[in-house]
Formats: sequence, C-alpha cells, structure tokens
Amino acid sequence: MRNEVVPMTSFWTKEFIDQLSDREFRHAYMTDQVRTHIALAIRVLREQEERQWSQTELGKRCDKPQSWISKLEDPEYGKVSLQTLFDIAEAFDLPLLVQFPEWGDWLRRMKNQSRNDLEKDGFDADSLNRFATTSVGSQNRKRVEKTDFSGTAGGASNDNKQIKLAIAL
Amino acid sequence: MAVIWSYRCYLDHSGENVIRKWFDKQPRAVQGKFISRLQTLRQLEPELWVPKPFRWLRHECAGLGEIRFEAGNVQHRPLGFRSDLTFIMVICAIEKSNKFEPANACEVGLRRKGEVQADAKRSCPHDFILD
Repeated sequence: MRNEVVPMTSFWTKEFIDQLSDREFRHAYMTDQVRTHIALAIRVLREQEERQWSQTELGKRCDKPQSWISKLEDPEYGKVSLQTLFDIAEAFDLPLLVQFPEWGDWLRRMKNQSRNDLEKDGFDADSLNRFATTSVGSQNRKRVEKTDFSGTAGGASNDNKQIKLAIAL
Repeated sequence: MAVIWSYRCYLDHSGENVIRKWFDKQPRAVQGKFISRLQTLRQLEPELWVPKPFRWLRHECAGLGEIRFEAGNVQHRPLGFRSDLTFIMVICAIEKSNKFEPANACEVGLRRKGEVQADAKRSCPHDFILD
C-alpha cells in the first residue's frame, strides 16, 4: 500500500473536493493556482523588505528588460520556462522546487499564498549551519566503516550499501 | 491560512444572486479559474490587489475594480467594489479589444454599487466553495 499524505488538520471540505471531482474544473483550477503563485511569488520576493527591488532591478540581475519581469508577474502569461525560473531563482539566491505531488499534498502546499507565506530568504550559511550535524555525521560515518557487512560474495550487497548510505546521511 | 477579504454578491430586484447565476452558466474551466482567483485574492493584502490578477478601474469606471482572468480565449472581468475588506461583486463582464461587453458594464456596475450602498439587503455573502 502506498503512503498517503494525511493532513494534520482539515484543509478542505467535502464540498470543495466534490467540486474538484470534475476533471476540467480541477485542472483549470490547478493551472491558475500555479500560474498565480509564480506571478505573485516573484512580485513578493522582489518587494521583500530585504530586497525592495524594482522590476528594472530584478531585470538587471537576470540580464533581462523590465518588460520581461512585468510579463512574469502576470498570471495570464503562459510562457514561463524552466530556465526562466532558474534565472529568477538565481537572482533571488533561492532554490527551485518542481514536483508532481499527489493532490492532497498539492492542496495542502498551495493553501497559503499570503505575502508572509511567499517571502523567502536567500542562501544563508549561518542560518543553515544552525541545523547542521557535522560532528554527529562524522561519528556515524566512522561507526559505519567499522561495521561488518560480510556475507555477500564480491563485497557489500546493494541492501548493505543502502544501509551505509542511510546511516551516513 | 490568513483570510483577509470576504466577498459579497449583488442581488437583483427579485432577490436573485446575479454572480451565482453567471457562475452556474459558465463552463467548468471558467468556474475553476474563478474559484482559484477568489481563493488567492482573499489572502492578499490590499496593496497586492493590483495588476495583473486585479485592477482598480479609472475614468468612467472609477469606483469599480475588476478581477482579471482568461479562460477559453475569453477575458473575463467580474466587476465589483470595495467596502473595507469586503469585495462586493456586482456584474460579470468580458473584455474584447479593450472594451467591456456589455458595453454599459461600468454604468450598470456603478448603479448597482449605489443600490447596495443605499440598501445592504441588495447584496448577500458569496456562496462559492472556497475551502
């Protein structure tokens, strides 16, 4: 049985899901949510207090004209390419996440689109290092190296390799 | 999720919700986009109710705003006005060649706005399924 995403709280009503049961409705809704999200996110990230960039400023950082940024901030503009999103991500120094999630996961993730939800900070090593586990990871790696994975001709089996990797991570 | 805005719909003289009547006649793809826009806009601070998902109108349409979305090569423009953090939809027009259809959409919209402002019973809370 596959894992299912079970929301911690109720994010939708039965009536809303009934509404989504129509395929045409569902995909029009999904497409618009994604397009609007991209357009709004670019605007909010650009206007975020730490940046306060004009469309011209963001354009300079992407080596593109202001009119190009204006198009990207239009939810109806349907020609946003993956490369465009990479360019924008680099300008904001943010990573990009493109996935094909299941509907429950998608609905939960797309629920929040306020300015506060869309504002994101760029790469910050100090912040990331607060969650780093360098010393623990090193200890685990040493422990794994000492573990005997014998029993398979020619070295460790694939299963053992996976166990090693999982522990090292 | 922080919901900032609420929506209301204009009721005609017979008490019929004209926005719901419009919605029920639309193809499912238009309905899906409309629901999506209402969901998104209600979370946005007033300063984000700007082009392109939304636009406050000027000149002979001043006092009204339009929710802007395209579906099936048709530019839909549900029009309404703001009262505090409530957006009251009064007419659903379309835009062709930078002109509204019906051509008197703004005139009708502003008249309806006046009716709602004079009598709160000429609008009702929206009944679209957003959650």
